[in-house]
Amino acid sequence: MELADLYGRVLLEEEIPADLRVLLKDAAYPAMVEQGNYIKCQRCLSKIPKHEVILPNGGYYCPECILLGRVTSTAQLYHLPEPNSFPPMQHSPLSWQGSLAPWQEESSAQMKKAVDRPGEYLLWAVTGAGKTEMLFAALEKALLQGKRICLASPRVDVCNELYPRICAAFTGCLPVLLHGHSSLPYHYSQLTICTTHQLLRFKEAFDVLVIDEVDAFPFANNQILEQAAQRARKKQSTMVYLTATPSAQLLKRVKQHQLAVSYLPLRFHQHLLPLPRVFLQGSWEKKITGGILPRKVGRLLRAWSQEKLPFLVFVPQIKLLQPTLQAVAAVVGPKYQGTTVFSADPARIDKVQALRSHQLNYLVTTTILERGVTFPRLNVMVLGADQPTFSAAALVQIAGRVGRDQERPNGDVVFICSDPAKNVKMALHQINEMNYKGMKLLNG
Amino acid sequence: MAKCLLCGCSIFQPLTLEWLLSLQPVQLPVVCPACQKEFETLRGQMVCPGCGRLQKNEDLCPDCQRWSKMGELELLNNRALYRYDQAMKDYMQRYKFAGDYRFRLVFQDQFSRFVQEKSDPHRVLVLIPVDEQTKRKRGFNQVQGLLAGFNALQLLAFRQKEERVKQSTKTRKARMETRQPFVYAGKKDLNGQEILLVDDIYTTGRTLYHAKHILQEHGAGAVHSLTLAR
Repeated sequence: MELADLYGRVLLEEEIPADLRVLLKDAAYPAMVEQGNYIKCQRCLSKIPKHEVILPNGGYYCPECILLGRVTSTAQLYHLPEPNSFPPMQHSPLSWQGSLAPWQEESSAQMKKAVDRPGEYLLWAVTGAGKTEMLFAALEKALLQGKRICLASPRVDVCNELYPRICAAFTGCLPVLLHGHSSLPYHYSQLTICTTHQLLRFKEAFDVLVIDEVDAFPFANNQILEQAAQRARKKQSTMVYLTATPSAQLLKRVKQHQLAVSYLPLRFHQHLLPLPRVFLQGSWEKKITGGILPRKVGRLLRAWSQEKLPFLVFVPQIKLLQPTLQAVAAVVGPKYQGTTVFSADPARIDKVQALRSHQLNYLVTTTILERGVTFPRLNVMVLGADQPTFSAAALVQIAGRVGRDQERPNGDVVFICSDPAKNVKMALHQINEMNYKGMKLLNG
Repeated sequence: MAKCLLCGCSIFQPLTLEWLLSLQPVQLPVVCPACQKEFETLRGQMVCPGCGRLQKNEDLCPDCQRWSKMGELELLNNRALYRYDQAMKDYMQRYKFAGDYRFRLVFQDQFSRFVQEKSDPHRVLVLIPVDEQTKRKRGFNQVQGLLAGFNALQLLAFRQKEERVKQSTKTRKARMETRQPFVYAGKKDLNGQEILLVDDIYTTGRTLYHAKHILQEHGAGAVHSLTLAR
């Protein structure tokens, strides 16, 4: 480990070798601060009632960020300010050869401008729009200016997918990938790709901080991670939120002109988003637990299976997975194979792969597959779309699984619900709004 | 509303007439029923009489037979509350190794009651200690954390000087070859006093048998043991 590994970082004693610690006496500060009946962790900035976290030896510890190594009141944190000491680049680090569509160019130019203008930006791009490529020009510019950049996402799989793409596009610099399951070592790099949890280990480090899928778990509604993201960027820096489904909070800030927004309402293949069809069916749950599908649902699924189209059926609760699978299997016949998927399923990745390689024809799933998966020619059905498990954002994301390939740019999205609840209406409204914007673009 | 320590979900606890009439303060649960179900209890199950492990018959398990062969005349007759399965391993990881002291509350009530049931006035309670280095780093003794309202005697201490390697980092063979780590910390001879040892996990039994030997060298009578997990 070198001194440079500490630039812009917040590390615990045990994360730094002893010989280096000697040099860093001035860089240390107490890891926890008392505030009346509360104790405040200086790494994750959460305040915890003292009596909950007192240890028998009289010290305190922070339970909130304990998975990154325990912070105790007797410990010290080490931090060195970010000097941006990167070797200046002679050539452009960007080796990406692709090109952008005209409407993508516009967003790309806006992002490029944002690099020079500190502040917060929202890039509202529909599912499957090619957000990452749109950032390339902005990232290139920032890299040439010697700025430090971070691409963060709440989801590990997004980071894992992003890393090779960024490495391939920017051969001129060595990006670093950080997350809890990664075995790659840390090195001081101009370009960091990490999970939002890893931002807890940074302080005033980044000139450009991009957060992909801001509305995804665990970042959404998580105060600790939001604070961490704010602290990880420099005081004068650019923050970009990327999402297809911004939360009400973000939209409110857009309305109040605190957040500049840039839209990308068209998919890369220039087709509009498929609009979900909503069917009211009061007793679907009772029928399915009784082993049969509502007639309309059965008719739709049979039609899909006859056309040999793969499909996903979303259910609101894990306990509905098995009954739904049996009911669907009875309708589509034994030749059409399917199985269930849920978050704690150890074979989850294999099953998703099996659907992609046509060994399976359909999956019955919970919201776990709402984002991050792409299947060609897909159709989607949501049972109980009105239930609170499905937020409006989740429904938009689910609908966004459909029509992502050039071959079949549209498809069927069906919502079955017992009443047209607010989340369903909001999802439809959001999709319509983006399609309206997209239509305007298409028609010039 | 209370939040489950293990999974973070909210726990709904209805207030019952029974509770109202008991005139007791509200006892907020720490773990949700779904998480509680993950742990497999050994109460009322058929276990090995020597070490308390779950099995299908009432004979000594191979581990305990080996202890007998190695010259152990009286086995510890260990009894455990839960099976040391994946759920318990994950729990120990977060409680002991990550050091989340709040996690003691998950089993504190149950384990205290369990120890209360098994202890009687003529048996002295002795907890397995934690070595100084670990204690300084961890800030607590995990066995003590699991027990509330007991007076245990400090009869055991760790041998000084030697750099101790944690049992949990070793293989089974290396564990069995561990030398006596304890010294006797009491003042008087135990004079035939019966002892009840308490520890968090019984894995090979090595640590507990070392404790038993050192106590019996100083005059202890029968030594039995209780653990949270086996």
